[in-house]
Amino acid sequence: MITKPNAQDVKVYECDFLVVGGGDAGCSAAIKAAEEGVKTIILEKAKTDRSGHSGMGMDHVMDFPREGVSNLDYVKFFMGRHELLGGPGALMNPNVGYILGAKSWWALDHMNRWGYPMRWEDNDDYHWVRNGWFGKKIMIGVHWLDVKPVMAKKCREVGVQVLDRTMMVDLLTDKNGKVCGATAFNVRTGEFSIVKAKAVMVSTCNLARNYTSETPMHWKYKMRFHGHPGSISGDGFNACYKVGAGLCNMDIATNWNYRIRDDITIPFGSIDHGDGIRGQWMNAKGEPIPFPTAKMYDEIEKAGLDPIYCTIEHFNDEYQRRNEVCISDERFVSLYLGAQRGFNPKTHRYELMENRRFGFYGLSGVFTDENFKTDVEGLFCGGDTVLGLGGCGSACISGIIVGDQMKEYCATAAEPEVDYAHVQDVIDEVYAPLFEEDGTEPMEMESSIRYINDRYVGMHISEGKLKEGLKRLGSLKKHFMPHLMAKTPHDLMRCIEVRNIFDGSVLHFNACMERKESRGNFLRNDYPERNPENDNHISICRLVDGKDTIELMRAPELKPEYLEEGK
Amino acid sequence: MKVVKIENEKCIKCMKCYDNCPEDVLAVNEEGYPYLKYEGECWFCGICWMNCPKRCIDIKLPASLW
Ligand code: SF4
Ligand code: SF4
Repeated sequence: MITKPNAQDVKVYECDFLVVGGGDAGCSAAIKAAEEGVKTIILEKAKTDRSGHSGMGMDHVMDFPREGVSNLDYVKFFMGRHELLGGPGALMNPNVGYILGAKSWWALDHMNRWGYPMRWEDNDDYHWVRNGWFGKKIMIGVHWLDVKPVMAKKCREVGVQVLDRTMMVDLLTDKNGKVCGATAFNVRTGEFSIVKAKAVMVSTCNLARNYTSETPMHWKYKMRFHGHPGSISGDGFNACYKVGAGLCNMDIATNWNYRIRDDITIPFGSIDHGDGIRGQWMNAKGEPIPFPTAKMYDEIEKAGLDPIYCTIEHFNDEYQRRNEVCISDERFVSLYLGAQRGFNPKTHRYELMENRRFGFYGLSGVFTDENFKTDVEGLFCGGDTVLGLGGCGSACISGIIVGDQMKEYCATAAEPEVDYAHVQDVIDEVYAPLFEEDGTEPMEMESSIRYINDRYVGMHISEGKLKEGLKRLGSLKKHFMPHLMAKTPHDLMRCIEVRNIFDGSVLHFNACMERKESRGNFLRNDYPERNPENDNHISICRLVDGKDTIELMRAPELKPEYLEEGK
Repeated sequence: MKVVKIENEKCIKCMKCYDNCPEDVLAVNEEGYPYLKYEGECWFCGICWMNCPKRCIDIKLPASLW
C-alpha cells in the first residue's frame, strides 16, 4: 500500500552534482565528476546496468575527426546532417558541434581508461567505420553489447551513488531561479525523495512517445523507437522547460522515413553506415533510388511506387558477416526474432516506414552553450536532451565535458535551498491518481495523445488541423488529465510520463503553428515555400513568468577562436 | 498470447530479468517467480532473454507486430 507523504518527512539526499538519467551521457558525466572528488548522485528511472539507448547494446560510436577531417570540416558535416530535417542553414549552436569534434579524442582516452570496450580483441585496434552521411571513416565500430554493465560498475567503483528505479519528477529551483536539485519517485516502492545538488545535468534523452508506435495498438512500445521507450517520454525536456530553459525546434519533429518497418529484426544503424558499402534504397518495383527525403517520399507515393525498401543483398560475404555481428551488437535478440518471422537477414528486403513522424531526434532539444550549460544557472544537459545531439558517441563526449567542469563549478556554486511548499505541490500531483476510482488509465491517455499528434500534426501540416488538435488537447486536459488513475508505483510512473508527453505535445503544436513556412522535412500545406529569412534561426519555446513564449532566435556564429584553431 | 514466457521448472529465481528490465514490465508472483505483468509495455529489447543464466525465457512477437 503506497501512502502520500508530507514534504517535511521525505528522504533527502545531498550531493554536489546530480545526474538525471544514467545512460551513456549520464554515466560518463558522473564517472568523470566523481573521479575528481565531486560528490555525485545518479537518478535512473530503470536500472543503470541496462538502461538508456545502449542498454541492449550498440555497434558504432560517432565521431572522431581523422583522415584529414579538420574540426571545421567536422562541424560543417555535423550541421549538414541536420539539414535533412530542418532545411538549409544552422538550426543549432555550431559551437556545440565544434566542441564535440575537438574534444572527441580527449574523451576517447577517458572511455578507454574506464574500460568501455572501444577496441576489437583480434588486433587490439579501433575498428574504423565509414560514417554513411559524411563518407569518411570517423566512426568506431564497437562490440557494446555489455557496455552498460561496465559503465554502471565504474560508477559504483568511483563512488557515484546510483539511485536506480528512481525517476525525476521535476527540477527544484532556489529563490534566484538557480536549479538546486530535483524531486524523485521510486517506481517500485512508491517512495518520494528530494535530491539537493549544487549543479544538475539532465540527460534523459528526447521526446518520441508523443507519436504512435507503428502498430495497430497505439499503446504498444515497438522497437521502432530505437531509443528505449522509458527514456523518450520527454521527462528532461519538460523539466528543463518548466524551470525556464529554452526548448528548441519543437516544430521540426523527426520523420526519418528510412527507418525500417521490420526494425523489430534489424536495427538501422548497422545497415545505413558501413565499411564503404551502404544499403540500397529502392521503390516497390525494385528500382534504385537515392536516400529518400520527405519530399521525395511524397513523389514516390504519388507515382504509386511505394512502399520503399532497403536491401543489403549486394553486400559481399565478409560484409554480410560483419553486418550480422553489428545486428547482434546492437540487440542480441534481433536475429532470433527475425528467424521467427522467416527472415533471411542477407536477402530480406526491409520495408521502410511510410512517411510519418515519430518524435524528436537530433534537431530538437534544450539550448546549451558548448560547455553544455543551459540558460538557467545550475542546469546542464547531456546526450540527446541537448539541441543538436543524437547518438551514443556524442552522449559520452558531452557527459565527460560536463563532468569535467563540476569540481570547479561546485566549488563556488550556491548551497541548495529547498522550497518545501513547492515540494508538497509536487507530491500532491504525483500521488493524485491513487485516489481516483473511475478515471483514465495512463496508457489510454498516452494512446489518445499520440493519436492526436498523428492526426493533427502528421506529415502535412495546416493551421486548421493544428487548431483542432490543440482544441482536443485542451479538452483532454480539462476533462481527463485530472482523473488519471493508478494503483501501483509503476502506474504512477506512467502517469508522470503521460504528463510529460502531454506537455511536450502542446509545445509541439504551438511551435508548428508559429512556423509559417515549409523547410526540410517540415511540410506545411498552407505555407508550401521556405522562408529564407528563417535560415539560421532556431525556434525556442520558453516559459517566461509562467507564460509560454516562442521566438525565432538567430543561431550563434562559430566563435572566431574556433574558426582559427579548427582549420 | 504471452510475449515473454518464463519456464518456471528451469528458473533459479536469480531475478536478473526482473532487476534489469528497462521498462519495469516484469513482476514477481507469490511463489517468487518473475512474470510479464505489463504485456503491452514490453518493447522486445531482449535484455531479460540475454541476461537469463538458465535460458528459460522465451520471447515471441505478437500478431500486432507482424
Ligand atoms: S524484452 Fe525487454 S522490455 Fe520486454 S520484458 Fe524483457 S527486458 Fe523487459
Ligand atoms: S533470469 Fe532466468 S533464471 Fe533468473 S529469475 Fe529470470 S527467468 Fe529465472
